Amino acid sequence: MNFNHIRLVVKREYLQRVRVPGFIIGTVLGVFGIVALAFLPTFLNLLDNQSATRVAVVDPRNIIFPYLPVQTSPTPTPAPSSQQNVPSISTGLNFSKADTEDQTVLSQRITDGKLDAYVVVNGDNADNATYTFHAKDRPGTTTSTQLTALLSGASIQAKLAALGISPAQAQTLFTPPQLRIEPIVGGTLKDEKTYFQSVALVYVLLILLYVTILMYGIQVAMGVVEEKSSRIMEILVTAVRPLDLLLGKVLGVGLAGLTQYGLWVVAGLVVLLFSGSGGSTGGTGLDVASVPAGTLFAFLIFFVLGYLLFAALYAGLGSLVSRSEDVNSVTGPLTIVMVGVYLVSIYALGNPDAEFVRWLSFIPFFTPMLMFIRVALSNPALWEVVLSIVLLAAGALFLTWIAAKIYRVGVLMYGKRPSFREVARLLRTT
Amino acid sequence: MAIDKTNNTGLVLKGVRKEFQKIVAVDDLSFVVPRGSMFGLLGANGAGKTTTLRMILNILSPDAGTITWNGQPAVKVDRSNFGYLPEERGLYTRMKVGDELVFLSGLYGIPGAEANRRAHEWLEKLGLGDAWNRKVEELSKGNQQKVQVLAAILHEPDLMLMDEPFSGLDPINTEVLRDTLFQRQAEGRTIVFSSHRLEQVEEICDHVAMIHRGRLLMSGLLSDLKQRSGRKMVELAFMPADGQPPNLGTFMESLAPLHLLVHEQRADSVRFEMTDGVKPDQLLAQAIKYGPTDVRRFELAEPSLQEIFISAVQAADPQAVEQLAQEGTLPGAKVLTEG
Repeated sequence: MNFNHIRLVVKREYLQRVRVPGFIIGTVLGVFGIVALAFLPTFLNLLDNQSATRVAVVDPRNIIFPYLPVQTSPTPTPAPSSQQNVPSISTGLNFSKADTEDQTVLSQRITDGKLDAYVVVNGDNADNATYTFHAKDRPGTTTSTQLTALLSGASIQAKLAALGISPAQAQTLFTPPQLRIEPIVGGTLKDEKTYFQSVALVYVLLILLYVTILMYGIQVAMGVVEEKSSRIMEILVTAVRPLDLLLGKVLGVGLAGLTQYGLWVVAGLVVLLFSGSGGSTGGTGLDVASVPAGTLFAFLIFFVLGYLLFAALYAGLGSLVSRSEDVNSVTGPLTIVMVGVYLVSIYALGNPDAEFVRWLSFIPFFTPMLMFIRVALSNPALWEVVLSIVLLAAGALFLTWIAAKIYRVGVLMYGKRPSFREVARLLRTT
Repeated sequence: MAIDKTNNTGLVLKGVRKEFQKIVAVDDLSFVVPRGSMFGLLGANGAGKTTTLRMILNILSPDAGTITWNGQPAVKVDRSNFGYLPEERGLYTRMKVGDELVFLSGLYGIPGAEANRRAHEWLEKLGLGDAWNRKVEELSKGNQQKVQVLAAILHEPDLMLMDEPFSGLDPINTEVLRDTLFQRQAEGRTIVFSSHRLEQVEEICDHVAMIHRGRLLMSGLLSDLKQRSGRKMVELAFMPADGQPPNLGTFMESLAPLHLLVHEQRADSVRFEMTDGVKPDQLLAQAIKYGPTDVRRFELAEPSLQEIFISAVQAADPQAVEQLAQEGTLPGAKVLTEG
């Protein structure tokens, strides 16, 4: 191995990719996306506060008004009704006591835009009270559900008060019983919250791994084909060993990918810092801080090795064709393999301890996803993890070596598949 | 790259053979490229020139025979001693010219700063001083080829192998490339280039090997080959007749008894090959007597590279010349006619 050659090829591949406008735009858009996702909840809250429905309550006998929240907390609501085209009847209800019973005046206020709706309470007490909602338009589902819930809550409290039960007593009535979960004697129980977060995180990381391999693997294949179609490989093979060339290419493309991810992670962390507690990031309920460092470390290892393995395969397949149009058809079978691996890992996500998951996790193609799932969600022995990593690394190197052979033989086989004899001869002479 | 003078045998091919799926591309090919020579590997399209160059570079491995550079098997020679201009030009088209040259030189072991300096210097020399930051694909074909040439010589290799270096270049750039190659040769480096345009490279190479259908026709010092051929050519030109080309019909008919070979007949001139027993004076006398106008030029000449090649092909493979002429794979190939 000529490390100077590898270094030069890595540098070229990296700079050629990172400098491309598409890469820069994609990365920047990604950063914006992350920031936007993180601030979306806050932003929605802001929007809600502004557009809270102002409701005047006409309740001269004070039957129910004391039990209504003067300003309901603006709970985030599902999208459809919170769109800007119906701002007045969106979310959040802002109750105020009407200073007049004259419905003409109140209606005028609604027309003037000073008020959104008013509720008229009729009756002597909470038992026989009836409620009428007046507004310009029929309220949306969310608003009417909220309204009904608030009114019935207030109504119950009013009735309880009439029965002589204090608000504090009423509070205890509605407190649910506490249920604690304990491990059996001598056992340990994975923290429920952490477990679910791990599953969610593993799922996110799985998709990340899958997408990365597909995206950058194809780029490696395209890079190889570019060298064949531009015929520069004829010069390259006179100067560089194909193994060094392919190693450099795979590493360079991988580093470009890592740069992109690195920037996104930094953006994510900055957002976490600025948004205070990490709990509400992106609304996914993921608390990164609660994920064990070991899981993240395992992810990094399996991520990198998994990429190297599949990238080597893509490089080898790319070496078989000479035109970029053929890349998709020649890498198609590998994509199917990837989908298969992905489906198995979705199963493994729910059953990390299944026997066949255990066995498959030692096969290099499956290792990046399955062993990672096992590390994150189960308790594989250390030797198992180490063995799988060694096998995966060896597999990646071996496949790169094979790919280099194909590349070397394929140099002059434009449009033809390399023959067995050519491969054999080159294996002997190189 | 310092030039090692300890062994000066140059490039030696012995009994080299290459087959592609039952088609023999190169067969029992042997020739010597002396060190410091400007060597033309000549032949029609498909004669096996590219295959030969690729075997020298170990892109292809020969099925039989040996190739040595200064006594060492070419396979074992450090790659930085070789520079290669492939026939199918190949560069990273989306890379900037400067970056590309520095990268490729780097692969041959030239450190970045030095490669940078050389690339700047040479681009300037070839009139591409402003191309440093331009992508290769933005350059014209001719300029791309100049960059390609630089990629082959920037690491100052001892042996440069160039496959059809002059194809696709305009006369000015051909001149520039020629000067560049001569300059490298003056430094003691060896240049091997292939060409099927024999008339184009005649004045460039000092040594040649001519191949036909994968086999060697002849090789050696060009002047030596010309002399050894023992052939004499005569070029005869007439004055124009009142601004019109002279009518050579009567004159040509008068030559029939002499059985001369007509190599080239133009509007006002004819190139003959003299046959034994005919003296040039005789021909001149005929020209004065039967020529349509006064003789403008009468000259004894050596056979051209192309004439040597064609008669060698004719001797080895009688049907081939007509075929080459029909296919157009060898410009200038034509069946000789008796005058």
